[in-house]
Amino acid sequence: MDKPVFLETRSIVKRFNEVTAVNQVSMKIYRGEIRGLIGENGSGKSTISAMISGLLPKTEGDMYVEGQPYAPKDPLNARAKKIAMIVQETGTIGPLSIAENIFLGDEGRFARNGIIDRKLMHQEAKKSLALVDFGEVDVSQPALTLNFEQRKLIEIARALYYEPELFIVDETTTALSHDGRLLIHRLMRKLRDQNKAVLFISHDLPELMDVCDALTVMRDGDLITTIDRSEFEENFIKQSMVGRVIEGDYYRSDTSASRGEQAMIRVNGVDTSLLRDIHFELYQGEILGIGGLSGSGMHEVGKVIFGEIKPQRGEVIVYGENGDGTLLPHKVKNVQTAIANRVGYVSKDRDRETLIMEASIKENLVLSALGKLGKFGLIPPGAEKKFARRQIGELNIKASGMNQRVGELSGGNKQKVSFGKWIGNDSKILILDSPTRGVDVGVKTTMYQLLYSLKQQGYAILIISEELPELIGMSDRILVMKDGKINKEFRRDQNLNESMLIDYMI
Amino acid sequence: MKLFIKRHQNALIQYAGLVLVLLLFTFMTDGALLSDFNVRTILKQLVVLFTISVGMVFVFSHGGMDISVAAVLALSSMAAIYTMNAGAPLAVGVLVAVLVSVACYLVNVLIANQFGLMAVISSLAVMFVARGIVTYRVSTSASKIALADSGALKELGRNMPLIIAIIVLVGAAGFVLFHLTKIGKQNKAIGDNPLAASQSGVRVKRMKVIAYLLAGILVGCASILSLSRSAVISENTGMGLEMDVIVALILGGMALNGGSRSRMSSAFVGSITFVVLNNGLVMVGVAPEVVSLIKGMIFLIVVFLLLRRPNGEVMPR
Repeated sequence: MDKPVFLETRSIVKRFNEVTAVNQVSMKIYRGEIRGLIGENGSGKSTISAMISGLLPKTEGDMYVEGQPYAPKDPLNARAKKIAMIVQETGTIGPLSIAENIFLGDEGRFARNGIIDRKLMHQEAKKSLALVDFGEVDVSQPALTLNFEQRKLIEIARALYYEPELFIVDETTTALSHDGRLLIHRLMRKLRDQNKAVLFISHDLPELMDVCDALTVMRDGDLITTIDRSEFEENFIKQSMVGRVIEGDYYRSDTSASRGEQAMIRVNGVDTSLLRDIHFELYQGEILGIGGLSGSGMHEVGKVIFGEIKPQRGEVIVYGENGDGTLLPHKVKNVQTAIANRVGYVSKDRDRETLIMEASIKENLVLSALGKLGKFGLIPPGAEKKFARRQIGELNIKASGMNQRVGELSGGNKQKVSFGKWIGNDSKILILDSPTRGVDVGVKTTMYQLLYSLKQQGYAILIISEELPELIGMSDRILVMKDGKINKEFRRDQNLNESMLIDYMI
Repeated sequence: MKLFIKRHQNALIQYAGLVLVLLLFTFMTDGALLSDFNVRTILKQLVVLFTISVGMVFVFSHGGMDISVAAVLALSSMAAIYTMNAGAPLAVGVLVAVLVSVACYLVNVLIANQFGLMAVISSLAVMFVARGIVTYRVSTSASKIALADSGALKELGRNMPLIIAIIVLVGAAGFVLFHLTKIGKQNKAIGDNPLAASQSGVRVKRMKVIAYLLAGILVGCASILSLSRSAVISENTGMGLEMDVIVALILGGMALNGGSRSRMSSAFVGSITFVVLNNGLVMVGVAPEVVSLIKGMIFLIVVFLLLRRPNGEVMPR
């Protein structure tokens, strides 16, 4: 390869106590190349990028930037070497203004005799926003007035302002809508064409294959292989990632729609500030998918059914069991009536809304079922343990024990805990918003198998997702939403493809 | 073994602190700390602080914070005195004290819930109002505000088996409610993540009200227990108690933000440690002028030990 090397790692190692997260990794990152880094959760890919960008110190080994030894103490060190990273989680501070966020830690550059020249700062902030085509905005506004995606763009603008030679994108795109992703892709390509180096970390294999010039695969802290674009082959890459053969098609295998007779949920003409006249039914034993752009209101639909958002007009009826097995309609008034009628909800923002990171697996699993576990108001510790043990076993949650904190688990296992919380609670209606977001291929397969087996057991499942292949692969019916309305309904069909759905989304 | 220490670090520090304080002062006072007379003194102080601490665990566990205890206690005591001086029996006096205290705490939590105010700020308001009423009454009444017939209450204050029984009863009830019912578990969940708690079916506001209700009942009871030691109130009654409670809970290993690490044992261990520390310092002859300084330093050390993270690094994701 004749491209110049920008950054090289030689046998770098990172240990957290006894756990080796990155083991003897030597890799070269070239200028004029978009390098993808892929691997399952816990494979060490984020740890590598954290070491390169100065967020974590390395345990052993050496790094070189353009031949010079490089040992960053913090991200500012890295920035001085023209290395910038965008992280998965939000990296903006809500109450600070947009401009202040962009120049966080570097306000000194605008100092005039110790006083910050705001006018200049705002001017420069606008310049940096222009780099990401942000459009007109008042940069003195606090960052929290922006939505999630716009805040992500602020971070990108911040990184680009310092004209990085190495631009690291860590899992950012999973949080973005279609348009946001395309923008990042465009930016990465532009940097590459300017002979800069780009490192792109993601779970999303098709996306990486589309954007990257070369892909490095990691597994359990080891660098497995680096593949050139000309040799990209999806199944081979997947196998290298998980170390075993994965079937090319991991969605359900049947091709025709099926469902029970009994409607479990009826949404009757619901209006909210974002939704307009939503009507649909969800049946027993059915997987219903809802797709659309992130601003289409589809995430709101889940919250309305779960009673978290009250409709301005219309109602949600749920069929809950009546003790003797007959189903009776109940109107959803709040979260409590939804749960009492066996509706479970997993939010798109799982880590902040569905799970309690600080609490143990057991505490998370039992929280929604406390009412059912108690006898005369008392909840015996034994009942909680039994409940937690069963869910951990059934869902195969990998943890050191039921008392491990949920925050310490990998993304896939966290998601299993949030499923287990509702399945254990006897929920028969599951509303899953972006169920495989931030989850790697291996775990996705288990998730899809689990969803299919739940369907066969008669669960009614609503999947809200921005990943169209997933909707097409798993759903019996798909509702496509646009501008707060249901724009089109598709039935499960072999010939269904993404572009047919996209036509009704945009 | 190493893992065990790491996992139970906070619990170990809280018990180690108690043992250390007990051993140190027993040694320094040649055993006088554990003399019959002194143990009685300790128990009398303990019963008040412990009863309040148990109530506060519920409030702290959901992330609340209360600094109105001392003022509410003074107000409840005053109400009880007026009631009993009017000829009502002790039981009615207790009831009135509890009602006044519960009313104060309900006002507190309703302001916090309704206006989304930080709990500590609404408790500040309640504190000023309650203290204000007491100060006003004390300064405008010609004679001292005291129980006319303090016989029955004095008896209660001297009855050691009864005091021990109260401690056991309050402790047991607190433990059961906090660790074996929805009340404690859901309050802890709110302390960690109110959003996730509400999406799990927890009625967040209602649970907070229940926590404050329990705190109100216990503070009301504590005001009677404190009256049994001195049957008089002044504008300074209870002064400083709100901070004592917070210090005691921290000495007992309570996480100030609440959440899943909250334990009822913090109230027990912490209030004993605090009372013994207080009592011991006086007994070894530390001048009262520097007691506060020494307590402050010990407090700082404990906070440092409790807040220090065992692992400096956290794995990304």
